[in-house]
Amino acid sequence: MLRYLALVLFVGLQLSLIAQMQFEPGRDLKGTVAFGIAVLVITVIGFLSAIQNFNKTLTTKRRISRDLVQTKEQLFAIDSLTRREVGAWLHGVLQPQLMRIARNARKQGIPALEAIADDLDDISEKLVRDYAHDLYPPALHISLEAGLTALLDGRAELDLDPALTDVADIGIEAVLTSKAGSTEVRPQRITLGPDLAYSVYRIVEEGVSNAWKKASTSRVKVTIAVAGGELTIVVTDDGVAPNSTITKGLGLTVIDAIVNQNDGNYELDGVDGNVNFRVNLRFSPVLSREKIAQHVSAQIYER
Amino acid sequence: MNNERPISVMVVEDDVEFQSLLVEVISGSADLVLRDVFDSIESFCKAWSTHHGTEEWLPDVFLADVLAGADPKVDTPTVLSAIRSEGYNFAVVLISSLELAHLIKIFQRRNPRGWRALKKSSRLSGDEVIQALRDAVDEVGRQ
Repeated sequence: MLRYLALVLFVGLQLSLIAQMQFEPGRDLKGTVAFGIAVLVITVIGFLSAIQNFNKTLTTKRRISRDLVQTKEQLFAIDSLTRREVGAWLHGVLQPQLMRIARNARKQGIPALEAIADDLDDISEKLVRDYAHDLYPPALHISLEAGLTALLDGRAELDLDPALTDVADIGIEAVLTSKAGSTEVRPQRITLGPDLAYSVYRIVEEGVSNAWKKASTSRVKVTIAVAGGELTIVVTDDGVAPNSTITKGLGLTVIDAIVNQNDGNYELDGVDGNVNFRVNLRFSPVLSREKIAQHVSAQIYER
Repeated sequence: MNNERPISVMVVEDDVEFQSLLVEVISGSADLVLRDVFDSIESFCKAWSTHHGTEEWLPDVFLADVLAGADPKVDTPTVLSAIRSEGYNFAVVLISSLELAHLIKIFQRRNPRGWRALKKSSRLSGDEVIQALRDAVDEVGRQ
């Protein structure tokens, strides 16, 4: 505010000085000029200060924006870890405990206890299993293929890179003797790790869900390919292309976090009457052979 | 069923109580014989490595939990499927509280025969276990 006042004062004085020089040529203007210079100095200082403050604000905005991205990534990482841990506890601890109680109840041979055992089995097999699945699909512990096959059954066609499927060689011969005669050449299996596998799962889940939200969609296909250090997910549907660019809901906020975390990007485009939701993620490929060699061999050679 | 030697079975199960139930079921059946028991697929790999990967040491059928072990980094069906793809012949009966229908389809692509799935629950009977083991072995034959 003061800066604007100084600016107005400065401009006013300059105009007054010019007016005096025009209409009163003989008058001594030293005092007025000195005052004008002083106001000019103050104005320059004010502007310099304004520029400095602007830079500070810009830096603060950039820092807040960076912190926001980091916070989103951290929240997503915490969310993934919590989901995995709670899911593992539900599946690995609670379900066996419920089954044990139900089995002991059945052993008694009392109809009332058998009814309770039935209830416990229902809780374990439906509620607990479904909740555990919603948190972190246990099939992802096996492979991305296992998780996605269950997710997409009847909802979308899956075209998965052979290196991510059971067609690929997991490299079991790295720790076990290979039977002579097996000369088949197969691609090497790439493992994604639980976090990346879950990220891919969430992206596919979101993409397919969005594709089916359009009444015009009759077919959805998911293609996942790996090349070098890049993993590409494309969800293609035959529905009408959206009018605007991507509208950010909660699902896309999650995808944002995944993409930022994996140095990737995403886009929505339409080609030949199809709508493609394409996500690229950077990753460091780890061969299953290396994973097995590290994990299983370590146990084998512990003895 | 034919009247050959008993069907040899290896069990991979980390739940001690459930493991003892499976052992009890197998031991109680005249046409089944328990070859060995492991608490994880890594323990099995360790033992097989000790036996230098001899085919004779392998059973006719595995009765295996899908995710056995405290911190499973490698799942049971993936390893068993990989060993089968190396040319070894055995059947696999998977047992889990997971939904296994989709999983079996994945592994059937490389090794179409000799897979069965059992739902881990207090309703599971010994007869169901025995029948699944017999059916799986019938599909792949014996070594």
